[in-house]
Amino acid sequence: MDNYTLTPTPKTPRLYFNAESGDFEISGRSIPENSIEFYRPLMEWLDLYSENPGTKTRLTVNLEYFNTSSSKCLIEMFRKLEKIVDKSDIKIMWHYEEEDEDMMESGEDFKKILKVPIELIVTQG
Amino acid sequence: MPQSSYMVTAFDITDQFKKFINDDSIYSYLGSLSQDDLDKILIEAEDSVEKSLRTKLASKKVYNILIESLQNIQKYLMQNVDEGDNFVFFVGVSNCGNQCHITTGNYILKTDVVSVESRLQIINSLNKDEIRNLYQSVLSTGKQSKSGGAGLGFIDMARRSSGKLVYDFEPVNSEYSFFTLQLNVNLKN
Repeated sequence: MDNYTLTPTPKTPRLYFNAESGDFEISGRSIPENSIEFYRPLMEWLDLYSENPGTKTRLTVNLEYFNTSSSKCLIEMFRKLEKIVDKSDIKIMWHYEEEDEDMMESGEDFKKILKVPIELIVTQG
Repeated sequence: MPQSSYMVTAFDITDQFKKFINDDSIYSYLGSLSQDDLDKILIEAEDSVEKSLRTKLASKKVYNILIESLQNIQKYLMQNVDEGDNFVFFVGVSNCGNQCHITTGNYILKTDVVSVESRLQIINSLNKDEIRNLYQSVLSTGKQSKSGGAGLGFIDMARRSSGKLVYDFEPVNSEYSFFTLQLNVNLKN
């Protein structure tokens, strides 16, 4: 299957989803006015990927800003990965800037709600 | 704005703007709120906030709340407001020493006041840990509306800001009320 990639804009993140290597990345800003519409193609891509995932899947999330409607899409995305933990070695790496407590807590929230492995990674500001 | 003589003492958004937005504001806007307006406001506000606040983290915190509050107004609170005289709002960011104040004011339908106020009352009755638990619970189980609303807007704002959400509803006419919301943000040095 094809990879799914999107270049970033001031309101939407860079999306890099490599079906072959299982390397996924969401980075930048996720503040679109309609997050469902923005993430819909990626969700469909993930459904296809889930049918035959790579042995290893690594999702790097490195967001500067995200709005609450994006957070609902993120949790939906993470749940799709959660469903294939038996088929693929999955890990989500949630990056946050040192001292950015809000972003750290957001990562902790996802970690508390979901069973899929989420690692919080602090980066230097 | 109403022109009729019997409306002389009627509600005027400019008075509200002057009442809430001080001269020491680092950013303010009074005007319409189309998608283009919002895009422009977000760019200008980010620039002003970055220039005025001491650290990148402080400006990030304030800007994050601004994004959420402005998108909440545009997508949720004002979505049923006619695109006429009432399709205006204001926002101001002021007094950014150790604490920043973000104030917004917008028209909302009178029929929406009860549901908005009850949400604010619930949030204001909770402490920080309870607000976080509520956020997690809505994030985990809440359904998203077609417009992408997640029901998380006010909870997110309460979580990121300090103290209670300070709000007021002022009657405007038979159809509308004017909603003001002040968010206080503690900033670390």
